[in-house]
Amino acid sequence: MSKKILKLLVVHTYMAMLTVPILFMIVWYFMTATFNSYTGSFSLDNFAFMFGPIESMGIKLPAIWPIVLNTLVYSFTIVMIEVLISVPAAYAFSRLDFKGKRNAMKFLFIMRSFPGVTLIIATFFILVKMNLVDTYLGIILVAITGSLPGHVYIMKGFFDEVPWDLEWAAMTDGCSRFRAFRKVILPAVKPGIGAIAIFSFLGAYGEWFLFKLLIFSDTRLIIGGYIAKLITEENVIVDYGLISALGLFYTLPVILFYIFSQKIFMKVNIGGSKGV
Amino acid sequence: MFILPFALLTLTFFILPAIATVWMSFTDLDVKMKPNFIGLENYIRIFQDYSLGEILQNTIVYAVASLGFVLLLSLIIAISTQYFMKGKTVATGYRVLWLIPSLFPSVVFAIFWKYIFDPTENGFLNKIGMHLGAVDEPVSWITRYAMPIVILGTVVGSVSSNVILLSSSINSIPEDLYKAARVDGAGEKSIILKIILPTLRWPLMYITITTLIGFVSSYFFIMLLTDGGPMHDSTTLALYSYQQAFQLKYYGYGAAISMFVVVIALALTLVLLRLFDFDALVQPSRIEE
Amino acid sequence: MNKKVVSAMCAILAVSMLGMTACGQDGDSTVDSKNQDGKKEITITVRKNEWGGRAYAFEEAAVRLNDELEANGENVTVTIDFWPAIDDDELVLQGQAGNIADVTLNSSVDIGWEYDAGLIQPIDWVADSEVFQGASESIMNIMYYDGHYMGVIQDMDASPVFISRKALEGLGWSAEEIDGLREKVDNGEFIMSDLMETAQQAMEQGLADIGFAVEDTRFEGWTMSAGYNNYNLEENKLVVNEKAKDVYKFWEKGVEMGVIKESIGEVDTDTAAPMMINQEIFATFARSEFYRILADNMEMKITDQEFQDWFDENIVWTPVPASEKGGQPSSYSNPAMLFVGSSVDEEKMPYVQRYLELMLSPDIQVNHTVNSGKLPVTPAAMEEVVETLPFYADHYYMTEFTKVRPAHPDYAVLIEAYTLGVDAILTKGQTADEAYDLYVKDAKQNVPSDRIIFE
Repeated sequence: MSKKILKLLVVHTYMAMLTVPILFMIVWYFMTATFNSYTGSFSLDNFAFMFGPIESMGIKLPAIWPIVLNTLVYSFTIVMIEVLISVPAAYAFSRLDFKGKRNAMKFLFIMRSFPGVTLIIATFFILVKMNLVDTYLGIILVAITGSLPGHVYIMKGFFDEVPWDLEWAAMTDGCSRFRAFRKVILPAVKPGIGAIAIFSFLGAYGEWFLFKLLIFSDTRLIIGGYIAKLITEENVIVDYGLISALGLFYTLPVILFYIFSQKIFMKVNIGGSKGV
Repeated sequence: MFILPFALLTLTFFILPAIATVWMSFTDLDVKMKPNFIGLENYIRIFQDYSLGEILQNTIVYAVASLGFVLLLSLIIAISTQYFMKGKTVATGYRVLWLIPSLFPSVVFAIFWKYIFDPTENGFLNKIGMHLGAVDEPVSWITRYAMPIVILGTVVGSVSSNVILLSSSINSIPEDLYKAARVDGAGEKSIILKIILPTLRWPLMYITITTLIGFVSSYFFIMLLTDGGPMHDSTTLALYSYQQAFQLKYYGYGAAISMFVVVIALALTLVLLRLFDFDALVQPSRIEE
Repeated sequence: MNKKVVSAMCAILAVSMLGMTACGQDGDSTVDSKNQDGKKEITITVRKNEWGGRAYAFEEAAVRLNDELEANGENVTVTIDFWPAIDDDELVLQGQAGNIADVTLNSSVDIGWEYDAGLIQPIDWVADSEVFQGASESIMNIMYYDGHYMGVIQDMDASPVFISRKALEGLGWSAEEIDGLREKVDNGEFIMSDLMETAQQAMEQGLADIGFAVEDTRFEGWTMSAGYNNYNLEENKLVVNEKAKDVYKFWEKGVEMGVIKESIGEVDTDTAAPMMINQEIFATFARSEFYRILADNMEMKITDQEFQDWFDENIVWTPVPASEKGGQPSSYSNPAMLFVGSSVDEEKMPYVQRYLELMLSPDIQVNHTVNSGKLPVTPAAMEEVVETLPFYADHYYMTEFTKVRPAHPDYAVLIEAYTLGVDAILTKGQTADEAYDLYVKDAKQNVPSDRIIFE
């Protein structure tokens, strides 16, 4: 037993050592956000953005709460669409035989090798042609296309983990393929759906570049774009205090979201493995 | 049927723009937005660019070094928290802490590093260094060690999404497997090597390829931290492409450089797919309708 | 996942998508129409830049325009539709999508490419506009490009060097010597090398940690000081010649003497201001605006007597000294310009013109100066500043020899090349000759050959 404790101690020690700088980082952000650098005194001035539009060094930021609402609507829409599209696609890649499947899968990887910024100008013109520029629909479609390949891959991994026998058994019991998919496979890949939901949420929540280029009005920004407004044209970042405050405001809900979802994650998984 | 929506989206918002971008790279597109076809001129210019060698080298150093550290750190953290400390609150704690840097938007993340390596006495490292007497006067860290600093920041910021992926894979390993192995007298080392790592093969392949490609094609964090400087010391190919296209407004030339980035990423992908024996991973389906 | 959940999700999805598309439909209603009183309504779209006193200027000018129209008995009301200010890339792209604002604000350096991109139109009424009666030739020239007036200058600045008065006192300079410094710089008696030596002495005696600091990475002030002119106005081409080597020699010498540190590009004015206040920097090469940044850092306004007194006791300023004895000192500026979009037709133009002219009302300009630290641009506005802001009144004469960055579309490319040379000296210990060679090489490669002259 003592050997086990020793081992845990070793693990904890190096984990702690690795993690201390991160802790320091977080503390620093809190300090920067709440201390006035000139007088060195505590103040919550940097959080004024929570109570109405503010202006910092010539950059005007609109009221934040409508932006938060936009962010939530946008992110959850993305999550839903992505799950609805990537789950069946991943299932097909994992289970069905079709012509060119192997190439299609390689193609998924190849898609990732195009940096998003490369395509943005062309994408812009396509949206203009489709009359979708400056609409949420347009930006959502573009954003989803960018992140789908990755999520299809993750999802496929989860489908591959589900033993064939499970599906086979359901189908010999008289289930149709679709029914087998819904009743047997889907519950088994729930953690996977959870994972891609989290990833697409995080990806959508932090989006700013697409908003900068594809959405023309400030009131339809989401929070990532709101923060990115604080970079000037010369790529100089202004007002560290305000950025830190915004950064904390932005990050805290996601951390809570993660802790919350992690618990579900674990439960689902343990339940799942018992079933197997 | 299952992949129709996926295929449609891909066609409209990936294949079409990709073709258009390839075409752009053969034009002199600039702010006038009146592109003229100029053949291979842009590509010839890339290969004649005197800074190309240095920029390519930076790209490789940046991508490979970052990838190495990211893989190492993600594995350590994932195995520690999901195997050694499985189910403990403290494990979640570590993972959440590591998650935070990757959650900060680049803008927010970059200012931390700017503070640490600030060239004046107010910078953290300079303050510590001068207090300890290690340096006599403030050191301009970012000008001297641009690339290592960029790599450090990138690594810290990209570890955690990989940790999530690896952890969930480790988590799917049934406890019984460990128990059986321990009964057989296996030590921790062989459990990690024989049970955990093989399970992680698919996620590791995924991480390696996506992270590497991500690094080859990323530019934003570098732009905020050093803007590729001093001189071209921390300029990667993707950043160079962005600078040419957006900062200097030569969209055609920028597109040509980014096609070059794509070719590199593509080559890397194919090599890695072969290395990981991709074809063996695509299992044939055994169920017939 | 059961059926209900799926259908619920689909329903939410459909609703939110509909909502979003609906959201996307508003805006863009710039068509003239009549309102209830039967008055003709004209909408001017404005990209609203909020910096300094600009937000107030954009709004107040609209109010005054309507008052004026009413007073003149014209049957027209003007509504201003404010759009958010955006970066250059978005200006280009939105222009392609047909989304061009009637009024935008950008730097004078942007004239060239914005004109190339078809975003702005020439406005030659500027020449006869009453607001610019009596304006100096240099100010009129700033607005002039390729044979036309391209915009209305909104604010400008000069580039004084802010020198630590306490450091000079520490070196044993008498009050008369310090107060007489500017005159000696003006007539070319005290030149750049003298300033460098003084900085070096101050550092040796521990009166400052850093010799020179400079605004951002814009080193234009020093470029001009060494007599290198990188632009040929007649041909509208950029120029590279041996004179640039003198600029690099200055950098080389500065590094050698220790007055320029390799981190100089990272110490921008926001970092330099508190260090200047703590007397860590001997001299900051900044622009008029630095006065306001200093005040900000002390949590005061530039109109506060307390700040002005502090400034007089701690800082002394001069133009950028000449490089040779008897030479002219120099100064450079980054003026802001109000541009008229290519979307404005002849019918709308008179209202846009009046709107822009009203933005230059003296009191609106002064309000901007107080909030931004920039110089006003018309003689009438300058007169209002004289009493309340002596610093601005005192250095206004610099605008007579102040130069601006050329509005050439490839200027940004040239500066990139030039900065490479500076970086080579600063961080790689290269010589001025090597830096110059690099500059030439990079400019040759990246600036289209029909837009640059190598002499």
